[in-house]
Amino acid sequence: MQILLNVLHGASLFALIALSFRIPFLVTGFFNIAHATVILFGAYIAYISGVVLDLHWALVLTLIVPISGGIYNVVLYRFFFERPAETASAPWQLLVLSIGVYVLGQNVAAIVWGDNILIGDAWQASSTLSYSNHLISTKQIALTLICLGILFMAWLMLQHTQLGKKIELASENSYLAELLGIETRKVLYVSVCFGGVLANLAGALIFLDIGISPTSSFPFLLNGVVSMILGGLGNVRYLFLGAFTLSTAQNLVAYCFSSSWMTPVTFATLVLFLIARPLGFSGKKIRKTAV
Amino acid sequence: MEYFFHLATQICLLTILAQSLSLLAGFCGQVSLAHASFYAIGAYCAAILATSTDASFAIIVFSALALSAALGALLAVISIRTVDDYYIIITIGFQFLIYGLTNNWISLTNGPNGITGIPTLVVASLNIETRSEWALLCFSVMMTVWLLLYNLSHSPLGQKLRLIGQDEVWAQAIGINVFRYKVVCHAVSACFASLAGILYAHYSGYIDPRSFGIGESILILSAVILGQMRDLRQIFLAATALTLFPELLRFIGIPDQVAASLRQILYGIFLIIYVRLHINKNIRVRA
Repeated sequence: MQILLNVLHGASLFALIALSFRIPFLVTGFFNIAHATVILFGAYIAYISGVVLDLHWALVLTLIVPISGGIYNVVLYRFFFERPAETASAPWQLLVLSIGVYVLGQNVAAIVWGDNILIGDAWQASSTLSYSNHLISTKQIALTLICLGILFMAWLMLQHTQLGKKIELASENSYLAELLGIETRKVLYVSVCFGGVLANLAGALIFLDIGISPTSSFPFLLNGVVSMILGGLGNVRYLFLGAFTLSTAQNLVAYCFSSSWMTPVTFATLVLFLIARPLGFSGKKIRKTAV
Repeated sequence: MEYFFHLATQICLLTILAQSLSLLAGFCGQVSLAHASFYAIGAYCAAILATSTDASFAIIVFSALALSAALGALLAVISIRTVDDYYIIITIGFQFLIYGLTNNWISLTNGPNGITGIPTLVVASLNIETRSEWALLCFSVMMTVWLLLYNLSHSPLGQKLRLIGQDEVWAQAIGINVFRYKVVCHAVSACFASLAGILYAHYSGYIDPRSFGIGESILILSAVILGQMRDLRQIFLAATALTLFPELLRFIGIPDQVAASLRQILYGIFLIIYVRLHINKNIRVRA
């Protein structure tokens, strides 16, 4: 039961990060490693709002974190990536640029807050439920439900709104989208903003779960990226399947061996998929996995 | 003077690493963030053989190079279906895999505690002990690697790698076996990185996984990018700048805790400024 809950908890968080990464990625076309700073920013905003300023967590999670995340990601993109994205001759150049931005952001956070792990005190004294000789943390259940709720709302927005359709069209073919009257520049900024909102929320949930330090967002981003690759770039539901697969592999290795092998198994899973099924679960072809 | 010889050694090691990565990233067009993992493989191979067996230096070098070449070729085979960002993610994954192995395989690598007591090097009956001797040795190895890479880049192999780096599909169409050359390129690049690892292990006498993390790979890639990807001389200058510039922080009196982060911030700023300035020039070098 605990393992199942751990798998679900991990899968929901990875799926949230993967979705936050995927939306701007499809429109901008490059892997933005600086997205890890957005997750980090969300965690520190949650710390400042919920712990330092002692605001109500409902206010923090529904207003402060999402709004700040959207603004931060838009500013980050506009300042560092807007002009280079128009002139870059290869996506890897933008990825290298994003690595520089990530290194800058992470180390600024290290100077400001130090390398220690900051923990959300209010959520630490959580109760436990007893079920069939298992003790289950209510905090874990609550965070998983919040994560799933956010994912569901994001999925509704992407699948059943005009905005979601525009994002999908712009990501498929920006020139055609322009011809159809879609303002692709506006769609790009909306998708960047939306990605920032989701990433910031993910960061806040990570903070509430295990705390945050300047170096802890990068592994979570990689888990999200691997989940996205496993799921493929087709329908969003495959993304959750990819996240679930990854979380299952990690938790099985942690249960059978040790949790220190979770990161290596992440990439072993990715390698296996790239050999056996390079287009992911969805099977949607993209340039990056076919030469 | 000891301090300057130490810096000279660091510059030589970073130059070897960066120039070997330039073969992969600059010529073959494969921007990799796994280079520190081959650095680690060379270092750990040397450390384990030197501390656990009576293997001679020649056997240590041969074993480390063979292992690195095999793993480099494996990385090439695994990543052959991927391009651009996906390829870089695979290399990051490989980097984390090797880091995870060195950190968790305690019976072999001693885990996070690292391996201590690595004996000093004996080359042709000469004990390399002092900093000046190490600087001279590393400089000699660096120049040898430089010469080899220069000759390689101006050979028919180098021309084929350049063609593959420019356009793989076109190279395949004109009859170049892209897969084979990529595997060779990965293997050779890994070998040179491993050589730097062997030198580092014997020089420092102690290694642990933290010396070979993703940050090191980013530093090596930074030196390659700042060196304009293929220009071996520029890469040497970039490696020198990246090694010396953060050392200036010591003389300004910044606390060590902040200095480490400031150093990383400088690397990040270098990368950002350079990529933004050169991004529409394709960051590819003149021939």
